[in-house]
Amino acid sequence: MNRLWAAGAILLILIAVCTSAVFITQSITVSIVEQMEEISLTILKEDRQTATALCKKTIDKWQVHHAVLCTYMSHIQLEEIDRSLTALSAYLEYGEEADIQAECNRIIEMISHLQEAELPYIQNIL
Amino acid sequence: MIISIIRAALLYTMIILAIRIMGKRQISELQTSELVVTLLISDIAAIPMQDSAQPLVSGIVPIAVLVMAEIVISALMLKHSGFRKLVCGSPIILINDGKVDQRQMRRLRMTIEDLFEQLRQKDVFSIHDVAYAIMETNGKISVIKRPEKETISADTLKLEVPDNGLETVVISDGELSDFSLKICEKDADWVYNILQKESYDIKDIFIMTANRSGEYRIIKKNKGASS
Repeated sequence: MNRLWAAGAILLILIAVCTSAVFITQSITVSIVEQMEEISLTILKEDRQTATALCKKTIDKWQVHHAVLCTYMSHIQLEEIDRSLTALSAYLEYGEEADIQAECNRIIEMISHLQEAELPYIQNIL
Repeated sequence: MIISIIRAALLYTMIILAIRIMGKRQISELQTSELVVTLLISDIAAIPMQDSAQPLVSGIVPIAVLVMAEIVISALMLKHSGFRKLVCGSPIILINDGKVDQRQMRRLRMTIEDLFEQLRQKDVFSIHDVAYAIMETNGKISVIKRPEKETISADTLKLEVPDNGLETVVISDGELSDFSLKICEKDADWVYNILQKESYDIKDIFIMTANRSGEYRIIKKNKGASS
């Protein structure tokens, strides 16, 4: 009987951990994607200075979130986003608009993948 | 490198905890579901232990799920025999009244050599000695010999044998075991009295066994063997 209680406690902990992981991922990815879209729009308006400031802000924010995401997500995916954000920062200084847009889209795509990977969709389960 | 050490230690603790929660059955005779869980746990734990790019949680969560599933399945098996039959199968009679059931052996994909090997492990060296052989759900064979081939017991000879209880190790390597003393219904004073009578010091004793009726055996430590 004690073991059944232990199983129940494990189930509750698992539900809590997994649900919070989904919500944390959701909130982090949504806010980062919003910022990336803002950078993309600012670049379209040819305002590089604001875009660079926004990018710096996004990188700082991502670094904070990275530590949280690292505890339950594959580090390889997260490091790939790290590298893309660094590249975006460099493109904003010296690159072409097309390169910046491409890098922004790449980051948005990768972050969306992170978000989707945590959701219990049938395609993720199979 | 340090991360690998810490991760290995954490996962080791996690596995020990998992096995403890699942109970002692997990370390003795394994049923189908228990075997599956044991194999999976060892495999799952190996991934985050070797690959530091994988979060530790990716190993801990599936282990916790398996432990939980194992406990629930064992509880269900205990309550519903039909469920137990579904998960573990049923015992199969291989030798029935001295006759080998070839159909069942084919069903189990068991050769006659396999059967003989299992019988030898049960100290049966001739198939003619066997009345019944049953393949249990954990893959072991239970053997019932023909009555004339059974080992003679005190009961068969109508002998009265005193029940001295279990012989337990009351002193092991110079240390007194309260648990063993309780089993053989003795106390520390009883042990010290004997040691005094035999002129031994507790530190010099390698093993001392005793039973309920007060019989005891003492083996002294060899010189130079003490830790």
